Amino acid sequence: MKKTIQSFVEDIKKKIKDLNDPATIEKLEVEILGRKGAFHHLLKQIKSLPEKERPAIGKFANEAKGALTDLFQQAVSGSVQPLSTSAQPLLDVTQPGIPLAPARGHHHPLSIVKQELAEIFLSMNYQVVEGPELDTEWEVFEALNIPPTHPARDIQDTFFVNREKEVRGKSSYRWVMRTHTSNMQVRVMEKMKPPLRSIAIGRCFRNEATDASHEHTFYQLEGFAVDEHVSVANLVATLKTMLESFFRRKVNVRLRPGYFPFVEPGFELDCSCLLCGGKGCSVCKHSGWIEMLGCGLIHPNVYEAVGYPKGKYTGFAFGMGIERLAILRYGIKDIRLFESGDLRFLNQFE
Amino acid sequence: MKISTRWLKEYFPSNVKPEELARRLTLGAAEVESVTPVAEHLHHVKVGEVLSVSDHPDADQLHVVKVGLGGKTPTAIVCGASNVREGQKVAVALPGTTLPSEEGNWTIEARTIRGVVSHGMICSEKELGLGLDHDGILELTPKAKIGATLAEVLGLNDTILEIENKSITHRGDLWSHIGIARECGVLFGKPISVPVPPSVHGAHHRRLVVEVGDAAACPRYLGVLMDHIKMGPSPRWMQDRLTGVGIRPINVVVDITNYVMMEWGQPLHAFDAQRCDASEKGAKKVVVRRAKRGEQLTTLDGVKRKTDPTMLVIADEHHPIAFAGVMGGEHSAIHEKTSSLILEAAFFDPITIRQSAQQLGLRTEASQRFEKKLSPVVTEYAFRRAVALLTGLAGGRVASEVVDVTTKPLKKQMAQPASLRMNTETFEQQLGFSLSKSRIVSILRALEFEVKDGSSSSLTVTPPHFRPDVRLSEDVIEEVARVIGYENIEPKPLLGLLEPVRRSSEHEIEKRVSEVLVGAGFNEIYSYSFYGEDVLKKSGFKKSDHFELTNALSQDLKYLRTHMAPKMLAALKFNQKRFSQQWLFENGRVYCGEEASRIAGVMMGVADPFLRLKGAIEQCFRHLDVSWEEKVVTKSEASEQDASLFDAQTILSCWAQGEEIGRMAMLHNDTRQRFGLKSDVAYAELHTQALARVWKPAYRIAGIPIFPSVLLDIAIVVPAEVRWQEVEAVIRKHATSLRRLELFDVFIGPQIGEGKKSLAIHLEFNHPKKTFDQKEADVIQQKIITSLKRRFGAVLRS
Repeated sequence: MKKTIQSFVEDIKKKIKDLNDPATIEKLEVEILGRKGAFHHLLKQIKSLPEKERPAIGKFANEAKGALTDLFQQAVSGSVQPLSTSAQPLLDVTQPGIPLAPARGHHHPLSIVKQELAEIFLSMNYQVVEGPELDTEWEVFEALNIPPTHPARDIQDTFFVNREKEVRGKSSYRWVMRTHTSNMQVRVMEKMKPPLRSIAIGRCFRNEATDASHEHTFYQLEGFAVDEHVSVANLVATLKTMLESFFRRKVNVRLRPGYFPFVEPGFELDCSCLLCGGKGCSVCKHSGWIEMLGCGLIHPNVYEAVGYPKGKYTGFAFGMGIERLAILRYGIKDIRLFESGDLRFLNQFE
Repeated sequence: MKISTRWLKEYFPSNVKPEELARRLTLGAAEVESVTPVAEHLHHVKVGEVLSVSDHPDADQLHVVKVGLGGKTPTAIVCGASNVREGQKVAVALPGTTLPSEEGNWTIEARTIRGVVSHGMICSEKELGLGLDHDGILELTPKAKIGATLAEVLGLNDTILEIENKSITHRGDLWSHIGIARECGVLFGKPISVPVPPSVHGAHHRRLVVEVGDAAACPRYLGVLMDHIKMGPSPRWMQDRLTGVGIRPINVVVDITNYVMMEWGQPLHAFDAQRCDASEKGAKKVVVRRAKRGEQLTTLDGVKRKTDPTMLVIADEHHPIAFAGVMGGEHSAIHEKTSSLILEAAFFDPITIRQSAQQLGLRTEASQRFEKKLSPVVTEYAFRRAVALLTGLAGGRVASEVVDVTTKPLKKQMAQPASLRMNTETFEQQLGFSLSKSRIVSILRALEFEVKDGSSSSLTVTPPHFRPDVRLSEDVIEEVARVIGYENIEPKPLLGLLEPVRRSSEHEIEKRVSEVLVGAGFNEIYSYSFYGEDVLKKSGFKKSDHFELTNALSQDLKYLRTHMAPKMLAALKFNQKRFSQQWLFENGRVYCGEEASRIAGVMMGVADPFLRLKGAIEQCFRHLDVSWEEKVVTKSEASEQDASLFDAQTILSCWAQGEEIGRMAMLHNDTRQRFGLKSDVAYAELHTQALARVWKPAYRIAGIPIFPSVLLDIAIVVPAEVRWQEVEAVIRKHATSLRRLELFDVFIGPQIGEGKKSLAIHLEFNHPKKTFDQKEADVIQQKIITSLKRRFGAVLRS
């Protein structure tokens, strides 16, 4: 008898499984568990059993009925609700969202990069300073240990401006569009005493013809730290942290010799290739490294020019192209797009 | 600069692979840009055997040659050379092979020559870039293996390292194979062999007089007369080496001077002695002096050039014969009949040479080196080496005394080079890792620095003669560090006092305003700081108000912008074909007298562009918590530039604490048309520095009202020219306890009559200490209406 009940229950279970319309399930429930239902019919057989067995079987049958009732209830609540029962009958949640009105505009990609870099350096206790784009030869060259005869002073590289010369003591200096943000080293150090940690981000100019990878107008980030014991090891740590924060991943960096008149020793900093991670690909010309920026320890002649006592301070400085970071991050193919004002380009930066 | 690794081995005998050389040099000395096998095309040119030569059926001068290349069938090639013979071994370039030429690379193709198909080319020496001979095809040794590559047969298994010139601007010594070999020796810790050339013994049968007129520009000059010169090509090995490093072989004498330059880094020059005017008693005279006014010289490249009194020239008795350190003259050049020559090795002032090269617009291998600080000792070594080669390879004999004109200070400097006193602790301080004294000393000695080991931590360091760039203790530290390897420096975080830092307030303003504008739907653009005459014209700006680039790239990029509008209008024009609605802004600098930062915005292609743009600007001010006042700018008050760009009736200026913080206006229709813009444009600019100065946020809010407010709506009709500012002033004068005043609708239409407008206003009254009385509100309303009636003839609209 027990077996008969068990197999009956199993049968029902199977039947319920195949149903997913609540109405049909409820109908089946009546057919099985109703007063004239199949289960009731089955229970009638208990009477014909020996009296000794009856209580046990009766208990078993009751439990089975309870289990079946639960099963039916679960089946009904678990079956798909018809749409009509929803309070949001016509909402298609997979439809595209409705744009805000007016839609948000777009920051320029270089602004995005500039802001992020500023945040990174602020978090490392660097002040963010501003300075002029039109400056004199003193700040842009002379004070940075670039004498008039230096190749970097070539007329081909620098835009000169027909503004009256700036006289300082016995010397007078022409006005130029700054060729780098390094003029800010001079401007900050002339005003402030170490310890110093500063960055300046701004527009720079070089007198060179434009093409897909050259621009006469570009942006640089200048950073420098001056104190009594600043070392090359500190420089490496700072730049590694900066690149890792910007690209949001671990990178390797390496220094190699580089020549810039206002630092000694001077370095080029390479970063492990962001695309291949150092294995070698077309972006890194199969070297595993990409050139990132120029840096070094600030040259003693610069301290002398800004009037710091001789031999008291050491510091590092670095200068980095902002476009390069944006190009690497976004995969921009033509540097001229930045200054193009072309909305088809600008609309892509959220 | 190109370095031949094969040539390098002569001084740095090691089997280090070119790629490893490049890597180590890049990390320790100078950036190697590329590593390229020499004459790559020769790896594709094959050795063939001429099997038969027959006449071309249709051309007298041509032959049809069957060449065996090791395959089953011979290859037919049409050849015009007169020296082609059966049984010869020749160099064959098959279709697809690329050969170099002076005009650029070219690729061989199968082509039909007068009806016969030629499946390639039998090459001459010149066609292979191996020399100048173009009289016939190159004949290879009979031993050459058929089918082998020419590179194998000629033993041209060299690799060229291309060094980035910028990375060695401060290292004159590295512009040579010996210089690079020295670096390799130190970086790989292996010995090098650089033989010092033997000194030259002078002779007496001829005389050379050298007169240095400008000792500062030429502290050292070595010269000698040589005769019995036998002209001709230089030996193959020399030609191969020169070709490998990008120098065209010319003749044995010129090749030797170039060879020594590539070897030692010291440029040399040889003059044909017969072409130099003789001075008294047959002696040859060389004068080093500044050019005289009006002198001219035709240089080796055939160009007649004017001199300038600042230029240093080499002259004979009467005329300049060379631009010192830059290029020789054509007349005194070595030619195929030269039999005696004057050899020059000089040590010039770098700046003088750089300036004359710049003025001449000539950048030569020689001037590139002379622009750097070179070694006066190497001047002599190179001189000796050239004499030895001229003797050995060109039959030359020394005919005069060696003339050596060296200034006293230079002699003294060479005898007692300057030394530096250093402290070993400085190394550790600057580099950030510890370094033993013995390590420092051994590295410096390997670099050929003289080191006197003083007591405890002191050192006296004397750089070698070829390192004039090392002058400060920082330079010495760099030397040690780069040999150890910068890549081995462990990063260490910078320690120091943490002090509160911030952005400059200008930067802060830019950031905040940009955020508001982007949020409101504006797109940020960047544009150039320069514009040209056409923009001046379109904008009605005066040239005299502008700074000008004295060396602009083009006419369009000549004037420094004094106003943000023109470039933004240009951007509107650029985009208007594709975007009917444009809301743009830019953060930038203008240069009118002083440099100033601006945040400028334009709006085009929307209804009410001015008021919308104004709404955005107001939002910026509110976001910055700056309270401002508006001033209507009359035509006479407007700046000349604004008056020319804008509709003079629409210029509004914003002020805070006595400073103008912004301005806005509608573009004048004429300006709009001149810029080719399709619809009305509103322009606004914020004065970033002024905003930064007045930006002192109060961070205060008003409390939540405790007592209920009384709301009042008024609609009045006033003459259309009455400004809201005036109406508002009247209302505020009468309304006490006014919590909110809002102009919520402006209507102009026939219903209210011509020349009128209707203003609908919400007023909310609230008293902090009591419930505002409705009656009181009615009284105020009455006062306002009466006042408006009196002032403007306003009529209450029912």
